[in-house]
Amino acid sequence: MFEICLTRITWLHRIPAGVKLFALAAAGAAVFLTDDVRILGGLVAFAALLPLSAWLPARPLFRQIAPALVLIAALAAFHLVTGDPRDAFLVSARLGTVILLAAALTFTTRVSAMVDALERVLTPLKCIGVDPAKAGFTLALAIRFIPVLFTMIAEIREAQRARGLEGSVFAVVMPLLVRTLRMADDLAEAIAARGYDGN
Amino acid sequence: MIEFDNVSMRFGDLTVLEPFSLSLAERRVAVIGANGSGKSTFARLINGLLAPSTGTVRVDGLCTAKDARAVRRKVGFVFQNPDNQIVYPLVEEDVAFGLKNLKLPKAEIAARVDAVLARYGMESLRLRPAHLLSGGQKQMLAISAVLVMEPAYVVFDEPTTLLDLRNKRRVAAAIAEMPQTAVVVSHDLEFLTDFERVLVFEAGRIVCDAPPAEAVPFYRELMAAEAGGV
Ligand SMILES: Nc1ncnc2c1ncn2[C@@H]1O[C@H](COP(=O)(O)OP(=O)(O)OP(=O)(O)O)[C@@H](O)[C@H]1O
Ligand SMILES: [Mg+2]
Repeated sequence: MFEICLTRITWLHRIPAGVKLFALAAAGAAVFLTDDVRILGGLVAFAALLPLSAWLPARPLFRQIAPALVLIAALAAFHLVTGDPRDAFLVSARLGTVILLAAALTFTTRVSAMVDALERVLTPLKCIGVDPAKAGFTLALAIRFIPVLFTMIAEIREAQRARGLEGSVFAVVMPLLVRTLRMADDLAEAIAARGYDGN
Repeated sequence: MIEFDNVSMRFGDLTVLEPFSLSLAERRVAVIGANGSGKSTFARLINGLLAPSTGTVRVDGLCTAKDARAVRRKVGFVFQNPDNQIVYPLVEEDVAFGLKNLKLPKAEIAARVDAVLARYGMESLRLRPAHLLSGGQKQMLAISAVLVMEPAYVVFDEPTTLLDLRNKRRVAAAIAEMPQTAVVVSHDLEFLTDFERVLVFEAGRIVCDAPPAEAVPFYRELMAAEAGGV
């Protein structure tokens, strides 16, 4: 989840974070605006070649996109079963493109660089009340805490399995809710203690 | 110097700290006491995370309620669970976080981050994702991220509670050799032996204020007496 590879700096690392974010957003919009099979095929092939061209480490990359691949396979299978191979292709190509590009981005870009880029882009929106620093900080926190959340879910599920409650969604959701709320409190306090006060 | 002048703390109807006055000038002060006795509340008063219900808390003359921002720059705070205080995904980004808020020049930020990571033997971890570190490494990261701000005081709230013995020792050693003044809340009595002063809390009162040689046995006896009484 959101791994980054900084042991070897590739050409993808050298592209400014803002450019990469913009390219990802543009590609994300493009795949949902077109339903031309050739364009989508081209895009997904490009997205798949990108990490290869930079020799990004295959195993962590695969680990990161594997859950999404399962989802894509399930969606594609659904469309195939309902007798629509073209839709199966469209949905796989769209999601596949976005996921591969997002992986290429997160593998080669520091979160702090993404945050800085986002803050720069949002600066003109200050006049309509957007706070670029807050938006950037929110992004950083989200990326930092998604893996923490997954670890928490795994711990809770394990604890519930040990009690024989593995079937119960409630037994996972309740402790998860309690722990995330407590964590949010602690985090807010820790951020204040580190001298951040939203300006 | 940390000064409490007639300070008390209430949450609603619950009195958590009875009124007390105290000044701390020692370099190493420990705070011990049973669960719920008010230690964390006391610690949070020192850097203005909590404002007292009555009285004033001053750090080098600055009032924690009125000058909270200045006080927080002076007083760093390390929590029990490093997971809740690491805010950036990458080790070096997290250490740089507070410095970036101060809008320091990039070169200075980089130099200070380098220095702190080198000092605590964490250079090899600087490009690691924080969530993949071990518990001890995470706590050392949290401590580095506080010390890089060069506070004059550091408050620790049970910094070793979640750690194994080796990492407890590592953190204790790091605390022992810091140039800063430290106030440490802890249940690990063995690390308090070279502290200058120990405050023992019991049900919202400071029941003993003495060097460790006197305070630790007092605390053990207090705990034993209660266990016997239940
Ligand atoms: N924000 C709050 N609102 C209401 N009550 C609180 C709050 N914070 C602490 N308390 C209560 O104040 C009392 C003292 O809490 P405190 O966290 O200071 O104890 P502690 O000595 O640090 O305990 P521990 O060893 O378990 O960390 C407890 O009874 C606690 O429930
Ligand atoms: Mg506490």
